[in-house]
Amino acid sequence: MKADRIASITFIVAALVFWPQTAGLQYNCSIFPRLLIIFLLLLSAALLIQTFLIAPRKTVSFIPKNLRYIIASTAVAFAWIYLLNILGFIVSSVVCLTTLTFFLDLQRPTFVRTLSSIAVYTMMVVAFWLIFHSFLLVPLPTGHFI
Amino acid sequence: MLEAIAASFGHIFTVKVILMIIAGLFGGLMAGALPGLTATMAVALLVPFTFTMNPTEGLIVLGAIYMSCIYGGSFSAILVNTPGTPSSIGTTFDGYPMAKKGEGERAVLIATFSSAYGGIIGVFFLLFLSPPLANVALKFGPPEYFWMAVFGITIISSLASKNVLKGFIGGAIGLLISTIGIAPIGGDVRFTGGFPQFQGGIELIVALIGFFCIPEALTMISNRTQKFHLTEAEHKGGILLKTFLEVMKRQGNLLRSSILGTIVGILPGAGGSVANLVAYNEALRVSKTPEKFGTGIPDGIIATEASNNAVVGGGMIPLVTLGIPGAPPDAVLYGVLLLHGLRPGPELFTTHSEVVYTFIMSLFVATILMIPVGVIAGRLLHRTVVRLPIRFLAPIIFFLTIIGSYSIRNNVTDVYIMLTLGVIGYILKRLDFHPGPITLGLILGPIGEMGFVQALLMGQVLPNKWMIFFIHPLSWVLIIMSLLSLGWPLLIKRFSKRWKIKEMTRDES
Repeated sequence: MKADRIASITFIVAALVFWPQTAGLQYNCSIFPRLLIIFLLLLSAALLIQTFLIAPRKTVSFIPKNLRYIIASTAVAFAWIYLLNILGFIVSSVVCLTTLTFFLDLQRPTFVRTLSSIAVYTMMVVAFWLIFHSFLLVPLPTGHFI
Repeated sequence: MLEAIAASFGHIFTVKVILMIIAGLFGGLMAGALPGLTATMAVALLVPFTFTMNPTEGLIVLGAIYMSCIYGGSFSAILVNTPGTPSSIGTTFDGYPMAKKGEGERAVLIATFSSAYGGIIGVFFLLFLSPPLANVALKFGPPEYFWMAVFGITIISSLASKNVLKGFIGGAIGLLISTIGIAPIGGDVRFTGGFPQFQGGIELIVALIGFFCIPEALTMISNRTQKFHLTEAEHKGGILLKTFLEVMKRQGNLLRSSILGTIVGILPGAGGSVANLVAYNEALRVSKTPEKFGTGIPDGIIATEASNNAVVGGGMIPLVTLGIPGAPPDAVLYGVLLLHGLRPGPELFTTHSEVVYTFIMSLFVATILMIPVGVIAGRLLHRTVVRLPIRFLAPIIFFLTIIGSYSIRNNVTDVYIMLTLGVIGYILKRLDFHPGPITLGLILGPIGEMGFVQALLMGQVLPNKWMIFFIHPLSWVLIIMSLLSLGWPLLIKRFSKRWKIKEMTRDES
């Protein structure tokens, strides 16, 4: 219930942030988004009222299990995107894939396990690179390396 | 016509053409299974390879790629809860729960047979009923497109039956996200926050990958103590025949979904992304056990997969008869026809009947061949995903999302947007806001806005411009359908309670 209350307030705030941005627009450009903002406001207000009227049920905690792993993995993913144009597609992908596997491994990673992960990921990434770059002619990000 | 059909078989049944169809099917399946590579992209990317072929062969290969790409989207929808193409969004609702129960192989086979069935029905309509059905598309004006979008949005009441309010909030968020960028009419820049990167809007596929794939990968990471993502069921003998019979028993669902897919396909701009959700909604509405939808039942997969493959044939009806592409991949095929000197339109059937009928019949053959190709590829993929530990599967999903979202516009900003939307999607999922309604809003937003604003402009000639939304009979059909769709789950809930009370009192007496 508390989470729903916070969510509905967040949506109301988001709608109120969007509304002033429609002010300088032509009628044809603003009418549809304005209707949507009103729609979102009404629904969010209804959800907010609902949280006060309906008795709270026993729900699953909003905070997920292994939160630190989720945060770390998301950070690695953002770093991966950042590194695409610095290290290149192949190098950044192999580095980040191996890092994520290292994070998620339930056993203590050994040298051999890490090396085999690197080998498997290198083959996979190179295969994708060849398909996209040489066969489909889709340019992939390049940095100092490929 | 029959002579042209007979002659077309002579062109198709050669070793070279059959091998080309099989190669196209495999290519399309792989592209469809990869989130981010849509049917439009797959067909467009492979157009240059057909330059060396004659027009008939080129069209045959592209037709096979298109058909199997739509079907291939079901693989990732079933196995990792990520629609490979927007046409498979609905397949995640029941396909993934089935896979989680250890019935992934069965779900893939259901998708295979349903897709083939839908594909055949779509081609049948394309072959025999093209001219009358093309006239339906012409009756759709801006007010009807707006009401069609409204009807699409009402599907949320079925999709989010656990909490309709949250479903509609999700839909509103999706609709609002779709308005980011340059307005379709008027051209003003909206909600970009001063970032020029947002002027092109949020790409649907980027949002789709973000809202579906990233939350799933993060959920896997959250469950890192488990070794595998899906439970592997014991391989049962005769599953192929049993599943085939199971699917064929549901003729009502198959036929209804295929016809719906064909009709939605005929309407320019709608396509498989709308058709699969409309068909899912209708299957749920007529079901005697609607409460089982979303828990992993065959009917959900049958409805979405039969309808999205029927769109292939349906979308080609306005293309070959009027020269108007029904769905985005048809627009690419339009270009291919022009490249080969063929002008799509009414005269195509008379001036180049041999090419057209050979193409249509090749779609039919490709749909049949899709069954063995799909069974082999589907089983292989299923076994791979089931046996891949989470420590490998979650990073590979991240990899596929990055490559998929980047390749759409070759833009790193799209990848950042995808990941950000994914994190937001994960938070929303934890709060019980599911990605289905959000993506539905994203799909229907542009259709709805275009129809709404164009209709208002048309309404200027009336004493009250808002009356434009209510003066056409077709608009009223869509309004009534929307009201029915909106109220149906509530009615069902009310009546099922009454029936239960009646049954209980009868049992007690």
